[in-house]
Amino acid sequence: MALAGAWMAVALAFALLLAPTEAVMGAVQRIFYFHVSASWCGYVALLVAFIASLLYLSRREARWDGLALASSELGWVFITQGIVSGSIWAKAVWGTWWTWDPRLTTSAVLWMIYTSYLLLRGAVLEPNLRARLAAIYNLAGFVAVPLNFMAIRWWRAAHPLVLDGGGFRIAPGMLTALLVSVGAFSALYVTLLLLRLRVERLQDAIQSLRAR
Amino acid sequence: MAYLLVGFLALWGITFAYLYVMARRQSRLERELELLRGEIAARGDRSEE
Repeated sequence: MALAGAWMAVALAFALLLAPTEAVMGAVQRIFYFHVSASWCGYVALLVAFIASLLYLSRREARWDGLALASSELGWVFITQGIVSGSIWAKAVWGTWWTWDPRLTTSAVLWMIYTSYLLLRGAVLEPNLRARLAAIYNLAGFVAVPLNFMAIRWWRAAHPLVLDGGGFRIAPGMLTALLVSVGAFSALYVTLLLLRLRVERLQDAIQSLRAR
Repeated sequence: MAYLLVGFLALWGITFAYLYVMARRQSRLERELELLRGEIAARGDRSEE
């Protein structure tokens, strides 16, 4: 927790003070460092949840279902952060909170898929059935992640493209700030995942004591 | 500049809200687990008597 907090403070210093100011957008472009990092962590968290769901279906061990739930929930939080920060940035730069651009549309679909996943988990009471259904749903729902990532590469979009086959399309000073920020968000993801898994273990311990 | 501030507040607001909810849930569950363990231990003592 302390490491993630310290790293985040460094990332804030890079994003707000050390990174160069973008010539056209000005200071508001600095949202970019946290917008991209949050979205990136969202993808990683959902990938971890996808792998955990695969492992649950092949091994039927409850710990993989717990990991899938914890990581999906965090993926949902990070995707929400990405959408909210992107929307605020869009209002400042495009003059609108929302537009049906391919990246924004697939982000909305992704958000709804994982909102439904969390609702589904709350709606099924029998633990084994819930874990099995959630894992199958997670495997199907993950299709939206690569689709969201590739949307600005496959279709004409207003959303800017930072990384393509030729590498990063930003100034070196901005790239350093972005990488520090991605690292800080990754540390935050690991910290929150450990906390969420601890909550999951406590819930399991209480349930098994009650079943005695 | 105002949008930058709102953007950062939104990001950190979401992060701290999640952290707060999880920390509260953790301490509530820890208390509940302690109580349950105490109840089970007391039941065990009574049945031994």
